[in-house]
Amino acid sequence: MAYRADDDYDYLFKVVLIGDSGVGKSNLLSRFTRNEFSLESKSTIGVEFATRSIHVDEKIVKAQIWDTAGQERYRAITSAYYRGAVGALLVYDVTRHVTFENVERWLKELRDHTDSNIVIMLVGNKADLRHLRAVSVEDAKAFAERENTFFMETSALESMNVENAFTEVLTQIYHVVSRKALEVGDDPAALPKGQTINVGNKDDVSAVKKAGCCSA
Amino acid sequence: MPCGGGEDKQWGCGKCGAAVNLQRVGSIVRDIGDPCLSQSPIKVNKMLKPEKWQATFDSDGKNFCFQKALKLIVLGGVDQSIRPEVWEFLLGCYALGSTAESRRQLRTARRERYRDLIKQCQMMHSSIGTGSLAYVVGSKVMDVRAPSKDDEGGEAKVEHRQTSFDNTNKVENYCDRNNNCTDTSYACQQESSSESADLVSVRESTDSAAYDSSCFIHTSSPHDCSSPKLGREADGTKYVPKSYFEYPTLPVADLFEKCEEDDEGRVSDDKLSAQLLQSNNMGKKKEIVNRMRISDVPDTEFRNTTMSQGGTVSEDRVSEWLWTLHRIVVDVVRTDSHLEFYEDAKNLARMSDILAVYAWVDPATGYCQGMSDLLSPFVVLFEDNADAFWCFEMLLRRMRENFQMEGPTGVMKQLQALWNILELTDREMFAHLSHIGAESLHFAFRMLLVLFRRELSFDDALCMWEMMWAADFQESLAYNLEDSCLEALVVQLPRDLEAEMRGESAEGGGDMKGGSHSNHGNPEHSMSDTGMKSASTYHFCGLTRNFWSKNDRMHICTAVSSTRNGDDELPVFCVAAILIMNRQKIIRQTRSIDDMIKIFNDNLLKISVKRCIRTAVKLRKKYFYKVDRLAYWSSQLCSLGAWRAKKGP
Repeated sequence: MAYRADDDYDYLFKVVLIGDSGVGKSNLLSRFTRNEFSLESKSTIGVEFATRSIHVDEKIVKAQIWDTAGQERYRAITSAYYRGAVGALLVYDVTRHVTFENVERWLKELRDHTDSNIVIMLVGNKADLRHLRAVSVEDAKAFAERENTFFMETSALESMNVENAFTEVLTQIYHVVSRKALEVGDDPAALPKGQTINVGNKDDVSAVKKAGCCSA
Repeated sequence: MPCGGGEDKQWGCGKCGAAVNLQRVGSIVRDIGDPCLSQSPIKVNKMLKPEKWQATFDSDGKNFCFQKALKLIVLGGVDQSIRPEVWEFLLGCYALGSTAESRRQLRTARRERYRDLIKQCQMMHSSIGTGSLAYVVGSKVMDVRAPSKDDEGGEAKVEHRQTSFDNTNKVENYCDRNNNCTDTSYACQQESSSESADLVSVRESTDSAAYDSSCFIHTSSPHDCSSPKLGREADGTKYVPKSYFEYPTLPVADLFEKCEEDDEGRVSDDKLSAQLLQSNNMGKKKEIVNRMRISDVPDTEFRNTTMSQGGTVSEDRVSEWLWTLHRIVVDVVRTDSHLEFYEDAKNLARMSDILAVYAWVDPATGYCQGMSDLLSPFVVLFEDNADAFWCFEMLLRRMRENFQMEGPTGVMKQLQALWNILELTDREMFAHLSHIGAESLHFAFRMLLVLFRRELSFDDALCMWEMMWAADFQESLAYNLEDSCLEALVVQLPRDLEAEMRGESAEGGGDMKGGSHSNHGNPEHSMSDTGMKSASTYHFCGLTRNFWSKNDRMHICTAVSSTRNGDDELPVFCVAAILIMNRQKIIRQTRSIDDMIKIFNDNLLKISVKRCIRTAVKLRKKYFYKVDRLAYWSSQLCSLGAWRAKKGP
């Protein structure tokens, strides 16, 4: 879990965190990038981002993760930040079913504004609130399979699966990019914004079962 | 300032009887001090102190030299002990020429209106006005959705439910059922509000086939409202499910059955005992049946319930409002939660109530993220929710454009204005931002939307606000704001008072000569129309708009800011000032808009409130000077061109 110097990386991937307000996007981000969690975190106004670098296959992958306001009427502003994203964590709150119901709309939003090959993971956050669960793992898994996205349940509070979720997404993006680099024979330096990623076989990205899952 | 321990009681929720004396409230607020504002960073010598403030009033309580007070405020803010009363003037809640007596009457009328609104909201959700939040709020839990679609048995559900309450009580002790909070003088002894199913079921019945009569009827059914079959099957005794008490009577039913259920129909969650289950079961059963019958007969009278104020309320509007209430609670619990003040859940509920009332009277805006940040200081400052509400509402009148459905268009205009301002006043910064591709200026979005609440400490933000308001104060603006009063907030006053105030308006309106800047490019705010305005309309906020002039104003609901460009508003110049004051850091450390967003979001910039305001006021002068010069030269060029054209080649 090395937190490295900012400028020392082989790849830079832009990832967005989206989902209804209050599902815990900002805490997922702070848990992953600073290993912090705050019950006092405020609603996100506009957009924010944080970065962290991890190792994938002995390469340094730097993730620039954008955290967006959840409320619908800010969509016009926040969706501008989807541009160039190669990965997305679509977050819902496992204790509030309505946030899961809205996942479909978020997914559409995402697909309207990003490259179709973007790596998406459905994330059910607040999984520590086991007794308040309102969305079953099965429902979420089924949805993820249907929509060809990854799926994981997380708890930013207990630090459960947060590392896994982000790492999985970044690793998948890395595989896509390095394979593409091999194909094209390109220099796999930083991925320019908006570059199309050839994910190839869709099955690669829909490996729901491969992804680690909640402890529940 | 008296401040410190022993004030817990006062900071709880006071009573708000209709006739609370204005001066008493003022003195209470003064005595309490403010636990959150004890360390004002502002130097004591240059600010508006109580003695100076009192000296601006004559024996009738008319303010005859507000200009002096404004100058002091611009220099260093307002002493915290008089903040509430000064803010009311700064925001335009009262005319400067109003007497203390007329203000007292206005205040009483406003409080009554607020109470009416609370009552209306309470009919839709019983938690409103009780001091409890509408949803169970544990550490992170916003609501508890009943797993109604799952194939779980009733008993299992009860268990779920109870576990959740245990948990909540343990963690935050939010389930306080003592009805001793601010708005309870008119709150019925209702069960507080831990309904889990209401919102969800409103939504679901809307979606389902069962939505053939009224969704309120459906939600009022205390069990598993999301089942589409419910409306048709539940007409007999067989509908007495074991898990009945898992879902307390839902408050929306009040719209249709106003008095019926006050005593036996309400179940307090903390009385969720087997004994109660037993004893109340029969009475409940009847009630369910009654409701179901109503729901089976689509009746337009029920569907369009008439509220006390004479407006017709559509069920869509109620259902939308209930959803909004949910969003409000999600944000309220994380607004200024670092303040000790909000450790008391009743204060959170006050914030939630005010936002809920606002969303109800302004459905075009509803609730939008950022509004809770703007409201919170008023909740802390004002003991009475009604007073906090009206100040908040006055602030929103200036900013409504930022919070409407189309998105924050006001801020977007301000960002454009900021770009123009930088171009004319600071070429270096302009060139740098152009160079790094930061033309969108999105990094300033948050500052402008919630007026520096996120960048500054609570105390500093309050200072910044009052200094900005003082620098921008024009009584004519308050007159214009009156036109954007929401219809639901028009308050009727006794005729004699109105006549009195009309007179005052004529004498008092003229002596304010604008703020500290001129009104370039903004003719609708110039002083010249003050006289006209004061002749046809009287005092502010729609508070005193008389009844007979009401009708021809029905159409006016647009915010005054919709006609503004944002290039004369001090907050925009404050952002420019912050950029300029941090010039070295910005130019050295930013190489992209991302870097700008980073240093702004992570609050890496130094913002001295006083310096910022000073610089902003200077910048505004400089900007308008340049605008005038440009206008002058372009007109010269024009006439030169015309002259040449006339002369021929």
